[in-house]
Amino acid sequence: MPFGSNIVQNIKDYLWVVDWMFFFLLVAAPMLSIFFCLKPRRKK
Amino acid sequence: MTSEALLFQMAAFGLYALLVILLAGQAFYWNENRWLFYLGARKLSLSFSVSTFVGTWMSAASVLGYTLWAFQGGYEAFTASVNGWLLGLVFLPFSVLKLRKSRALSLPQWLTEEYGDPRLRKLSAAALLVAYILYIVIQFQVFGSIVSRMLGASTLLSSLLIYLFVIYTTFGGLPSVAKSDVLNVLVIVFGLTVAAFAIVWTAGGPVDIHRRLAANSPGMLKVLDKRGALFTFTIMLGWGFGVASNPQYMIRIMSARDTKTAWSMLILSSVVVGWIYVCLTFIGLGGKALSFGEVWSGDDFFGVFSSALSPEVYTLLLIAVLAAAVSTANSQLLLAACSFCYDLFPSISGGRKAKDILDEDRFLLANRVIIGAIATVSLVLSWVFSPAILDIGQYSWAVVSICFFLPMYLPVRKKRKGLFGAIAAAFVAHTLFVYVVGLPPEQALVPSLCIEWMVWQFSPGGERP
Repeated sequence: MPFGSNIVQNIKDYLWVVDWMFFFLLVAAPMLSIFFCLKPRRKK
Repeated sequence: MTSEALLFQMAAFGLYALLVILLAGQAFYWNENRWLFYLGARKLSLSFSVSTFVGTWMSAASVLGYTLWAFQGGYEAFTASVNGWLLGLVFLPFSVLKLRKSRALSLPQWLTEEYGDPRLRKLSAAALLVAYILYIVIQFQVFGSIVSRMLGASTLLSSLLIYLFVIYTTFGGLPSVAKSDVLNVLVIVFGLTVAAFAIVWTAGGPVDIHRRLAANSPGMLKVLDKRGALFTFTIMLGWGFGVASNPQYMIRIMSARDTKTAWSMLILSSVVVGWIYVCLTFIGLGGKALSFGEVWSGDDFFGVFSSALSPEVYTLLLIAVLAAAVSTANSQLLLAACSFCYDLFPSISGGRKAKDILDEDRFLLANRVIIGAIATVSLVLSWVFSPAILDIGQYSWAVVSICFFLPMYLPVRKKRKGLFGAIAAAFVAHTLFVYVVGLPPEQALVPSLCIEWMVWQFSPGGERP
């Protein structure tokens, strides 16, 4: 089915791309949580 | 198999064995104590920490189990298992500061010191012992059956081979496990990268793989299980919680040189683990794309790879699986022995009254005897039990999560009292969910944790100061 003809079906067909994006987000999760939540910021 | 290929495989095995002996042998020290044996004296550098973290993460069961599932089921395997396991990485950084503050040598000891109840130590150590023995049995079984299929050797001989590697690398404690893991991780990353590139190259690239799957088997591009999104998400959460509360990873946070090293280890390990999963995904999906008649016609997982890969690359893949099995089983064996000698029976093993270096030596000797005993029991069980034991393995991780997840990560102010009762209630609830309601063990974990939380919060007892 060509992309754009049925948007709901297209999204369902390409959910595996979302899966990969979620994967990369999870790979970066330790870095993100350490830098933004855990690492004490230096006082100015 | 041609005689040249067999010769190459034997040479590769020989080289791997020699390097393991040399690397692990360097880690036997004269002045050993339990601090060094269990935690590497909390001096592991970043490179050792990353290697041993990734090595212990990648088991033969997950390397082969996941790749086989991706080969047969497509993206639903990626969603449920890879993204499920990686979900555990979101939690792990939040355990670093708590674990670094503690002077405990094991997670059961940490639990009992944190919540002031000695029963917690025995309960969680017993849970860990059973969970790790079952998982080591699975490693032996998986490896025995795979290698016997690949090499034509008997299952008995193959599992005996991994038994010897595992015992040897565990005898030196965490320093020897960490040193051998440097080699194991290099072998895993190199072997899987070369195999993935070879498969993707033969299949004509990642886009071609997806096109072929869409044309021949479109169901493989579906990311959710047929039973729906809720089914997939509860499995993901179950596995994520299992990773987040697994002492195999937490002990590596404790053994790192300092807090910064522990954080850097988590950041770098997630990238290496992520790369390995990318390789495994392309090996699984690419193998399937190749199975539509060009390289190999049929649905035989091993037939595809032995035909699509050259004997050299196939051997690298095989050694990577061996390294994955050894690197996970040895760290589990060490933790199982620690649970037995240090947490469950310190008076029998001589751990409680050790006053001088001789007593300490006796205690470490008891640890080594127990390491040998647990490995031997696991080896015998792997021959006796049917592969249905894999189901019990899934149950065991849920049990470990019930012991450690809430005490480690509950964000609100924690109560000191009532945890033992809550864990016991969660065990009963989980057993009922699995055996009466019929839920898979990973799915039963989420409602069991909810029950644990409620019982803990509403049981009588004072707030923590």
